[in-house]
Amino acid sequence: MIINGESYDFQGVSLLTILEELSLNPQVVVAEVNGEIVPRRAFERFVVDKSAVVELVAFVGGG
Amino acid sequence: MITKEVYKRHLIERHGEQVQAKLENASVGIAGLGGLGSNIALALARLGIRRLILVDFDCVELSNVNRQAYFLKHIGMPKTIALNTLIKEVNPFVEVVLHHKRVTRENALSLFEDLDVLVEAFDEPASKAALIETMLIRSKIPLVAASGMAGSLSSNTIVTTKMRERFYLCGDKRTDSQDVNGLMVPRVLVAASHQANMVLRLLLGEKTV
Repeated sequence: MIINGESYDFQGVSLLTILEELSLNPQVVVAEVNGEIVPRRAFERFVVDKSAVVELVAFVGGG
Repeated sequence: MITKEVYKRHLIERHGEQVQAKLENASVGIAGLGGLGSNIALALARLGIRRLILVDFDCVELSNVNRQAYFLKHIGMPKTIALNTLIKEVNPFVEVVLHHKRVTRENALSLFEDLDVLVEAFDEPASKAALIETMLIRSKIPLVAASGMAGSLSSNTIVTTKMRERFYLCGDKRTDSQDVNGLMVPRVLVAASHQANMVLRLLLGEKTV
């Protein structure tokens, strides 16, 4: 699996688990898997294929 | 008395007829009227944009004046109304639509329809993510968002990145306002200017950063 351009070994896990492993707060993340935006409410049930290409944008505060 | 015709002619002299022909037909939405949104709105008013849709639920506080466009006399006023008075002092011919309310996943699409570009200018990271996710899934409007402009790191760490089709992100992407000495005007203005310039580029038909 490629996440933000880097290789990871995640297999058969949900997007939520991946975010937890990467210490990312799901509330502040916009996630794209294989080019499609995954809504936050689907993070828990969305199982990411091991060959998926994932892009995660974790917003930080300030504006 | 500066008439609309005189104002328009002066903008054409400064910016050129081709640029102004595009800007005078452009509508831009701004979600959040804090340090980013208030300054971006004034920049777009100076450019001579046709229409601004401005949304914020908050009122001006003393703690905003360190970086936001507001004056002390605006304290206590809704940010929408205070910003509208500033915009009108700069360019009285912009059509301004004000919504003094919180943007949610439910109302975002109806607040920001028929726009050329939407600017995400919230403070809270969860609000930023919710708006971007909702609009990427449910609309086709180009989005210009911001993440990472707190503190006093180098200005040169703030960049504009095209994250995907229709989604541009301005900032250093990492410096959280909770982790450093809060938000200070220089870097907030750098990020706001990145956003305003990306909006300008999109309105002129330029899709690269």
